[in-house]
Amino acid sequence: MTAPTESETLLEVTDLRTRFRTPAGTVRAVDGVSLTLDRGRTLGIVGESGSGKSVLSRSIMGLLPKRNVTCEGSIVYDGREISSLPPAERRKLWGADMAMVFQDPMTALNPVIRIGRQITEGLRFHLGLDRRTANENALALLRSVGIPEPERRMKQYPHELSGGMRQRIMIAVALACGPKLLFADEPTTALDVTVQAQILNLLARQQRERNMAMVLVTHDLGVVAGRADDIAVMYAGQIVEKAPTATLFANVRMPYTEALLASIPKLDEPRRTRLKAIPGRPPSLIDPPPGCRFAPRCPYAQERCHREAPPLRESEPGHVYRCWYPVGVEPRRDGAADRTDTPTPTGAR
Amino acid sequence: MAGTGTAHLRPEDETLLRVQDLVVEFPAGRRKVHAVSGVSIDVRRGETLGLVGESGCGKSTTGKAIIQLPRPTSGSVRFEGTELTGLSGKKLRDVRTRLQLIFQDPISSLNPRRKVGDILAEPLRIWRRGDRSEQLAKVREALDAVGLDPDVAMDKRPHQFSGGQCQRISIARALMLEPELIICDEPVSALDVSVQAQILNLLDDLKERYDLTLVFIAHDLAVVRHVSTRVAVMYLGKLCEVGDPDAIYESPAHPYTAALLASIPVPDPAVRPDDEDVLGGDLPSPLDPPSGCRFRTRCPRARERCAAEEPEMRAVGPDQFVACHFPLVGEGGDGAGAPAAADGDGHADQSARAAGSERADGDGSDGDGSDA
Amino acid sequence: MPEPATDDPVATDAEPAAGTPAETEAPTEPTTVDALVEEVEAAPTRKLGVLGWVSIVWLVGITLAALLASWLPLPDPDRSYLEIVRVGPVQPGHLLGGDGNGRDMLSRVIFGARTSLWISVGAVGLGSVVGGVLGLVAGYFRGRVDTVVSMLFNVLLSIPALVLALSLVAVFASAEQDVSDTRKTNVIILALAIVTVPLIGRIARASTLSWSEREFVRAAEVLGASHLRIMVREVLPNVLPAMASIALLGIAVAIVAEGSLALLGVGVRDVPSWGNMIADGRSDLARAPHIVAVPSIATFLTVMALNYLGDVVRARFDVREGGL
Repeated sequence: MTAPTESETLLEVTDLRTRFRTPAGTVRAVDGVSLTLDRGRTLGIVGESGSGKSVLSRSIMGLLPKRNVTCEGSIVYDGREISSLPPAERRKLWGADMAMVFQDPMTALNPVIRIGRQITEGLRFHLGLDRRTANENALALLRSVGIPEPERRMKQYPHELSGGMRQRIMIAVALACGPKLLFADEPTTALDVTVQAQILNLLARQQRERNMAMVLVTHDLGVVAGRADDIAVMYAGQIVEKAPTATLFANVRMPYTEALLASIPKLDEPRRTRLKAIPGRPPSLIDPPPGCRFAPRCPYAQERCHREAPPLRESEPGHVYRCWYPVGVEPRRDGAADRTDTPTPTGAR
Repeated sequence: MAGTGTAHLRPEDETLLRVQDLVVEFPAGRRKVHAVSGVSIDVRRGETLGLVGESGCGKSTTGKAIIQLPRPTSGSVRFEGTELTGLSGKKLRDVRTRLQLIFQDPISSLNPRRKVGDILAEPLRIWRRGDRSEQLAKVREALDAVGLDPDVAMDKRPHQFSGGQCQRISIARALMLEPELIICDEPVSALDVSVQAQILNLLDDLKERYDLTLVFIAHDLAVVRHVSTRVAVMYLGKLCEVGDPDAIYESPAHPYTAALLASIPVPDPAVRPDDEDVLGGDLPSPLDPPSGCRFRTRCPRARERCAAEEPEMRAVGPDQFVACHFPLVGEGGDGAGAPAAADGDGHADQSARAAGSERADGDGSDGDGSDA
Repeated sequence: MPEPATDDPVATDAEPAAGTPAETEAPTEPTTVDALVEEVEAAPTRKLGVLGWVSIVWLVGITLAALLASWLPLPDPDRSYLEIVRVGPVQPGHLLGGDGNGRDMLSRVIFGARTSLWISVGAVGLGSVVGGVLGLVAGYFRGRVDTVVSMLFNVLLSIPALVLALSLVAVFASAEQDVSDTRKTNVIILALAIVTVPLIGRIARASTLSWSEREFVRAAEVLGASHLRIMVREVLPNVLPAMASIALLGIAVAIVAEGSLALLGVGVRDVPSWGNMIADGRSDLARAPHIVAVPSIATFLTVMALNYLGDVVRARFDVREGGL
């Protein structure tokens, strides 16, 4: 169904702005985000809670409520502008074109419907399969996501399964109609570390086999480091740095990315060395600071940073960042000298 | 007796807390959940014991059973020579003031309807310590110690604070009664990375400042390694491996510890995770745990013996103890852990004790942790 | 603290203390996507709005009027004025007209509010105290206490409210005994309170069950607080909003129940109540509908206001809990 002449770009988002009108004020959860994603590639979106990373993927999917939420900007999917489509048209894209795996499989799965029906429903609705074929496809799907005894599982309810199993089911549901783009929103945050490894491996395998593009949203730089082609770091509703993965880790430009890396306890560091915590907390998204949004917490912040918001600048092809005084580029003024430790990640454990 | 063994315990007079053969079971209909099955751990004054494992391994239950919430089904918990399991009423409440607990969920652990000042003053009011102005002074001091501005924080309610700040308030509350030992039950698991570092640094500072002994429960091995002077790895209600963090992280002896370590995602694109699962399968049900070694159903090294016989804790290094019939350290050139030596459990016990006390002096300095 | 701080380890460190005034004063705003979605979806129901204010004004007004009835410049509710027999509103000096006996409707509806509100608030108040204590104890201690209390609630729930009230009035305050209205009022309050106990009690129990799971309850226990102290200081304040929202609805139901009793002829007789006003007006419904309409509208407005505010209380409290 895919013509050989089609463009490589699957998703192109330009200047996306999502706002929530809450009683406390208008929350600018996503504030001017642009990104592109090629077919079959993985984009890692990294950010802390409140950075807008989850709102971003839900805005692209069209999963947010209409009331009190405004979403501006352009979303071009497969050569087609979808941001202006009516909700019913947007919904038609779910399943066969884009799908989502949520953080908490327990709330994303319907607790009173058997696993089997939750998977076959999409197959029958989107692909128009009959019950039998849908059942066969579902069994194959469960097998491919590594679920033992799929026949038995089809008849079970979500609460009868472990967290890891449920997440596999969620992935099966998401993959059922063969989407070209998968959003994985913190897919492993609720899981244990060994199960997390299993699920990430599963996603990687499925992605390769299906040539599916993936947006992997996480707060853990470790999760995306080995698995994403490109990484976008979000802070306070904006992308503050974006680069191919290797480039990003080799040449961190944005002080926030640097600080984030430095604050992770690492196995190869001497024990009980003091962690480099980022002081303070993220700014209000109702009334963000006028200049650089990271300036209040930034060790290198100068007067200009508090006054003027830095634009996204490119340091090398594909590497953009939002900083007036990037790490390791221009000679810094005072204050930079006492931070000589660039957190270039050292090798294996 | 097929227990998990006590070879890793140090002489009792050296320890502040000593837990022996702790068993915690919950009724589940007609069956029993074997949450903790014969765990023995000890903590020296000034130490930080890292208790690590995945969900369902019983680490939190162990921590809570130490302060008798819930009361253990059997086993002994001795704190400064006092046996806690038999205590009740006033005596137990008295002892609990010297043992405190910090919870995982900073928001759930603070009463949303009370002001921060009241939350912190509550322990002092319960024990009628000091008059109002003295209590107020202590509350302000504790808030200051955890890095919150007392003038601002006192009259606010918990929901006006971020998760990290709520955790600071919880920590301040735990400090109010001047405890000796604090059990931190996943104190940073619910926090963002950048805030996590703030809280870990804070705990470190407070430990120094107030001479605290910590039991630090977590699922994140990197965090545990960072804070601990001694580490215990748990799986399905049993201990797998205990000892010096550097030894364990450098050459894990238990296959489960090794699998845990290999599963941690590394923030380095050069480390491409391979697609093969390090550890397959699911955690067995604690209602009906496997016979013998509880890890055998998922263990790549499991053999017949593992199903028949439960491994006992034994020394494989100067301060490294493992409950495994076929530990991994033999490969690293350390002969102590070779399968052949596994039968001499009694001897291993003695050498372990000796090795443990030799090591004792070096425990605090831990300057030997270098890059792998 | 063992000793006063000489230096602040957090503040002296490179990282400034996380509690600088500017930070802690930052407004609380939802950050996670789920909290945001919840916020925008719940916002309309959580606002008090015009209807909420109208409800509050009505309830405060009617309550004040009822309390101050004796001091208000109103005609005697029991005195008959021949010129207003079955005359509808609006009459000079008699704003709402008169009833079948020529008694002033405005005066009667205000004095009636006194009876109706006293019975309903008294019944729900008494029922809430008993039900709340039972529910709190059952939910906190669980186990056998819970089994017994829950059983009691179920038994009480299975008794039809009106049948219970009828029987109690028949036994303790029947017409033959020629009892005072006060005694009759008390019996009715008692009967309605008995019905309220399990309604409030079950809500209190369920709410206590979930709040007792919270870690701050464990924390209080670890700090050495007694069970009583934990129940009163930690659990109760959190259970109260749920109880309040149900109690508001309960008052509305009790007002209607009082009216039903009056219609059945077992309500209070000597003083006006909205219920007996409606009962009295039935025979004149065709000729003078305002005699039934005035107390009915008063009942309707009060019940609506209570229901609406009950919903607002519940919505506020749900989001508050969910957002935490």
